[in-house]
Amino acid sequence: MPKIIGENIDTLCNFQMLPGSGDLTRGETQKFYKAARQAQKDPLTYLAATALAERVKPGDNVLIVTGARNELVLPYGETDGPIGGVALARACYFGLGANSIVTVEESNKEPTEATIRASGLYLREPDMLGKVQGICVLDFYPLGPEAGKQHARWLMDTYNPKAIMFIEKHGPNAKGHFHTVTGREIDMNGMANTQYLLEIAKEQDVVTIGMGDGGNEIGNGVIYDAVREISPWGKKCLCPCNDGIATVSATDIFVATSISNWGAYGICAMLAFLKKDVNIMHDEDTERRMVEACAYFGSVDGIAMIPLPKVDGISIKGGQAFVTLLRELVVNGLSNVARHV
Amino acid sequence: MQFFDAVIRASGLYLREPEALGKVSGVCVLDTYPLGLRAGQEHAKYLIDTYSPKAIIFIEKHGPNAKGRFHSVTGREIDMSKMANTHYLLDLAKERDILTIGMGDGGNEIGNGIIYEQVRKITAWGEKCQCPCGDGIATVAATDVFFAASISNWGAYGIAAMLAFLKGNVDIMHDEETERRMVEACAYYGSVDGLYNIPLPRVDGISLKGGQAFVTLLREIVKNGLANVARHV
Repeated sequence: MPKIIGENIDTLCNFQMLPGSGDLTRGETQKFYKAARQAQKDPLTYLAATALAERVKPGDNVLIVTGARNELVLPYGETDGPIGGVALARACYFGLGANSIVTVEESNKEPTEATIRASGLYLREPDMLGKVQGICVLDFYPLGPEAGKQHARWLMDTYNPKAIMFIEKHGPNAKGHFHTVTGREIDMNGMANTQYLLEIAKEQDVVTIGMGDGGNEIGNGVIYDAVREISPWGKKCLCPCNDGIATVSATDIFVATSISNWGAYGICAMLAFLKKDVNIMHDEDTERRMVEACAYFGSVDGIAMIPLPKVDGISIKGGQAFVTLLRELVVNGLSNVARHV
Repeated sequence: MQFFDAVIRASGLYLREPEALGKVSGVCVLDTYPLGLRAGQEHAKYLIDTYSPKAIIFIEKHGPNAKGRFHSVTGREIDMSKMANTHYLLDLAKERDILTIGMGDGGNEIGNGIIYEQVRKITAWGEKCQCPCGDGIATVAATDVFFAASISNWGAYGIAAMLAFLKGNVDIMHDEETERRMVEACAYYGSVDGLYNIPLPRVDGISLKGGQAFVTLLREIVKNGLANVARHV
């Protein structure tokens, strides 16, 4: 039954309702999903949730890595990424008793704080870890490769997380360069280089889970060749490196969905099913609060590129409907109906 | 037949007598299909001659297997003399080049004939049923277009949404309030939820809230699909 639920959650998380808009194409995410399934066999949300349930015990820390940055167009990041990350932090607390450290670029401080507050988690200082329940610590990941490498080591040593989750976090291509989905280069000195966490995680046998929808996010390394084929900028980007946007950064489990937040929500729903409690995943009101809070403090909708309370062009109402259906999937999956036919 | 009345009323369509057709807009006529083979065959001809439909849409309507028998999804026989034998419409439709569309979710509904072989493989009772005919529930009744969806109503909703997109107007498909009214009306007059088998206002176990969420998402796909967002990146 869990795999069947996972299958349906995966399916629900993979339809697209993007608005039309100029240079953005459609249909790639379903192809990414297909490739990710082929590579990993079982339903992706099932794999991620069961891994978390196996590895993370009460009192453990989980590390959640998210956030986007561009001084001109993403000064406070975007709504896809942080909201999914916070939803996962919530689910890890309610479902697994874990504390979370959410790490983002400092420019994302206000919207990420706001999203954490809106979620109901306790935004506290690191010294409260282990003393109080339901804590979420907000960490700032420095910019650039050197600092990035050091901070990765620092995070792992300080917090000893049992799982690291990357939600829409850019990863480098084979030449070490970062790109937007539309093929433009992202200056590595202007963003958090979080891929350094991957090597340390492998050394220390810490499970890593990636979520993405564009082929250029950490985790997509699992389907590197497919991304190069599928994405319009897969092989050839607009920048001098000319090696395309596909990232080599792979995670142990990669959840491909039509928007990154939905990958996170899907994992939350699967965890709720495994733990037999739908409220491990957030509800429609929390959804509204998180999207409003995130946008209020400047995170942009990824399509309109202004701080509308939307995620990748999807309205709050649409997002709430999506949460309703995920929760219904879980509730119905857990129920046993008496039938006398 | 109160619940069919009720659903039509709840939808906002005009429940009128056949004479009103062509005289008033938005008319929905409720016809009663008789039970049994002979009556079924005659009624099919009557319907097509009387109304000259340009399309026939079957939603979760049982079709016969290769031996002419009808079954529930759980392999039990359905007595053909106690149900509407609507598959007779299919031959007439083919003769007169009328478009037929089927929706089903169990392998035994009209339309599934398109995937007859697969149904026999896929469904638990596909090849071997629980009745004397022993030939399984898969129906041979095929339509021009067959939409397999997880519940038959959703097949219909999906088509409505697609039509709304094609015509550039999301309100061609119904909204969440209409959804609520229709499900409540149907259950109120005794239609059962297919899972619980009692008249709960649910469809195949899905709550009203879940159904409304589904309508919201379909409408969002259409609205967003029709939108063109200004981006300055």
